[in-house]
Amino acid sequence: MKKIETVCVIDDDDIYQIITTKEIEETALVNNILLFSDGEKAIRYIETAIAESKKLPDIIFLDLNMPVMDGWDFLDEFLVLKPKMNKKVVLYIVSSSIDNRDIDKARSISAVTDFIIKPITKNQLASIFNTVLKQQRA
Amino acid sequence: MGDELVEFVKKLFTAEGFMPRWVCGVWSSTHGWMYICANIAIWAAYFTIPFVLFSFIQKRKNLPFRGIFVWFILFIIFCGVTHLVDAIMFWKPLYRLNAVLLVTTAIISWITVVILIKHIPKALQLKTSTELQEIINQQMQELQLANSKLKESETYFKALVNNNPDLITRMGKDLTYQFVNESLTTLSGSQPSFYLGKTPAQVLPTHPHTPMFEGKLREVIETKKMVEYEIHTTAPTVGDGYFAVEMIPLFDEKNEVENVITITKNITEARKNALKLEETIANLNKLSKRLDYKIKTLQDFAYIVSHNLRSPVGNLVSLKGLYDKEADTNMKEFYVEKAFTVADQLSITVKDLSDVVNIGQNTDIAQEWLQFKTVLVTQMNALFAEIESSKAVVSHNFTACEKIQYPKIYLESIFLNLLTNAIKYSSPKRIPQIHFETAVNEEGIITLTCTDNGQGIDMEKHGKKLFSLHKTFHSHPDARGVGLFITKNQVLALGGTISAKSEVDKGTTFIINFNEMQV
Repeated sequence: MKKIETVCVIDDDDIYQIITTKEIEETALVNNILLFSDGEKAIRYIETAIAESKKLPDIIFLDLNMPVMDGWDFLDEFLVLKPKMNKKVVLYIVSSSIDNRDIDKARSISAVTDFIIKPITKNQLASIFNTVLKQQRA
Repeated sequence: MGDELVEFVKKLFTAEGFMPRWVCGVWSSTHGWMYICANIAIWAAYFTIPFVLFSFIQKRKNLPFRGIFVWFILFIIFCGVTHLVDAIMFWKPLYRLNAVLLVTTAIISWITVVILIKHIPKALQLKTSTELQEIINQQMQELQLANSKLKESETYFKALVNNNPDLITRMGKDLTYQFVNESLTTLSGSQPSFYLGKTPAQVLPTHPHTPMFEGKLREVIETKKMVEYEIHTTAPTVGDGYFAVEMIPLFDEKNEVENVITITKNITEARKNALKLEETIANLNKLSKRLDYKIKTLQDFAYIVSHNLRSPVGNLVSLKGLYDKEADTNMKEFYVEKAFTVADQLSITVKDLSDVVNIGQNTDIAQEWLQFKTVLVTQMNALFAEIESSKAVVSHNFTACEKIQYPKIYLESIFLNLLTNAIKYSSPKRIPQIHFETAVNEEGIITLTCTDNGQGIDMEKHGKKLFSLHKTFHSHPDARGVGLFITKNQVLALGGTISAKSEVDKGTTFIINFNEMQV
């Protein structure tokens, strides 16, 4: 069965990282997991990975509230880089914010597939992975 | 016939062929002389009448039907002459001449008759003196009525102009006063004669608005257009006042400006109300700005509570789920350890949040006079180890404002957070320099600035989030994003503001206006 090659998790909360990694592993639908503790580190990686589209993640789970470069700033730079990527990168915002201003703002950005309120469950992850796999086969 | 006529003319002034009347017929002396005397008397009277009439014509210059009078004079003269000749006939029977005279008289008489008949309809239209008198009387009455009406309207108009609270004048094109209303004389305490016939410059040479008044008058006269303007006066008679002046041109028949009506309205009350209204609006704006701050703070707080509590709680739930499913005891222990860490974070977050709640509630916290220098030294002592290890140089200049009335724990917390921040985010490339300074402006706003030469913050990117909770901009291990948030809430709770200027790799300046929102 085909698996998703790379999933990228951007979140400053190390415990959330551990939990999410474990949940992703349990779905058994993903080969690699990339972890970044803030947007800046993630965007630097993506910049270098553009040249080699195999290294680009298939799915990004992005937190909003982070030190140094937060989710919104990451999105700004991600949108600039997006036209240069020759691979479809699906992006989800995963945040504990229930502020409608955040949710509306996120949904107005075309590059954002959806806004998921934490905590994200194994079932949610599995359904996302299956949808993306279906799209990749099509 | 021709011969007869020649004969007649030749003998016109002779009595040949006729006998004097005395000897023709039987005339008694009485009868003869009665006839002669009567004829002469008639002639004399007929001869006098023309002179009387002539002198009458001369005296009545605009006499109607003058022609009739001329014909009538001729008619009377000729009638008289026939009577004279009739008298002469007693001695000299000039029958031929008499015939010519009679014919002439007859012609003149008929001409007179014709002219009279012709003029009768016209003459009938002539008013008699009684009729004329009546007409005159009637017209006099009408005139009197019109006069009294005019007087009445003039009285109304005067009452209107004089009882008008506005100052009204009529100015001539030579810029002299032609009329001033009572409001003006009452206000100035001068009689109208003080003004009339003089220019404003002659009447009020020292009044600050005289040159402007004259200038505007000239403008109206030149442009032929109405002018409006406003003045603010502080004259001792009226006090601090605002006036609106209107100048309206009045034109003569050649469409040139003959007079200018000036109306000066006292709009002090309206203006003062407008100023009061502006002030009220400004106050309301200030209030709404403060409310906006409050709402923003409350929204932020709700957001912060949601975010900062949901995260660790979500983690705890997830960890419990993993723990339950996990068979490996080592992993189970790992999850428990992580759960404890989350619990510690949660407790810190709850403490931070309750600190902020306390700040928001303690707006009437006790204030005392504090020396900036004392508070700074206290906090430097508290941070002795950090300052020592970072080799930071802390300087200050509190000469502009040495002390402030403020809650002690807030001011200490502000200094502690500013100092900690400056040391924590100092640049490894240079010795940290931290400078505190105070200032006070004319409105009484006390400002504290803290300038460092640290790493700086990209204000364009992070300016808005600088004072938010759990926002950190550097990968410092101790960065928690609490200090500035607490500092901001403390400053805001007491009606102040906090802002920052920064440049990456140059340094940061924090500016605190302690009482900006109170003034």
